[in-house]
Amino acid sequence: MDTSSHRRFKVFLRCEHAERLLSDATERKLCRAEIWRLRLHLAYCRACRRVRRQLDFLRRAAHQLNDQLETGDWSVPGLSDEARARIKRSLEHAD
Amino acid sequence: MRHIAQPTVGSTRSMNDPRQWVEQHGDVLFRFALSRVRNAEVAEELVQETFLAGLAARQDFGQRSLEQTWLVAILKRKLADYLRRTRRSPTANERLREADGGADVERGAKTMSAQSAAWPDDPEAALERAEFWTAFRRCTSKLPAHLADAFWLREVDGLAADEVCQVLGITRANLWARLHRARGLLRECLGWTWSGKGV
Repeated sequence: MDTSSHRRFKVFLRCEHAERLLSDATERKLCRAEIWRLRLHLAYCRACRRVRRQLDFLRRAAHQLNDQLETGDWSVPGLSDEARARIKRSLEHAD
Repeated sequence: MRHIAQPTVGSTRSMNDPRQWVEQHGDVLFRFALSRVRNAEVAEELVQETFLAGLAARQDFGQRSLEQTWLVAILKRKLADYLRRTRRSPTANERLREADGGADVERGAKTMSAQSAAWPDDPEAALERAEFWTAFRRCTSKLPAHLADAFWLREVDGLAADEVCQVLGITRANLWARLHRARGLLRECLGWTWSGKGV
């Protein structure tokens, strides 16, 4: 997966690699080399610092998405009348 | 949230009378299911299964949780069963990207940071806006299904990574790649949506 290991150790990450590490960091422990390279990259790359903030934000928003179920304007219709009647019938039979 | 301190008389009846369920929770459960499976018939089916399972397990429902929260939890389990059965797979293109390990997700294409996504001055305030949530939901609904499944289960429902992998039948590495793709696409989509809107 990491073809760069055969080449010279790369101190400088490309943005897409840094972004991938930022994303992976929520899922796994980055190794020390990754952490240092990422830190270095973020120190000079403003765009990736912004991506980091956006990913954090996205995460927080995602956690709240389910809570929006009750309040949000879903602009999606609810259950159709047929489905409603059918489900009611099935509940009565089961009870 | 209403006053949970007094679940007596009137509310106890409605809390536990399944005949009220369809009217009280049907729409919420249906929209929840629909946002996940993207198919009205399947969503209806899942809602029905949820109510029936709830009915059978009625005595397990304590006063500790709200009825709707309890029903949503059942629906989530039904949904996981459904996903386990169907295992929505990536398209050929998506599969190629995953085989790449997702490291160079969009080779030749612009990376996330190369785009000038309009980022709100005050993201916290954006969370309070209905427009943000509408945009967010629309963007999640545009994700390819297999990415959306991973994103919802892991990020929204907060399932453990192992569970998500087990439900979707994928490896850890697959999951990381899918989450990365999903986040990138969402960011991109939100950026487009926000730009020009002056949020």
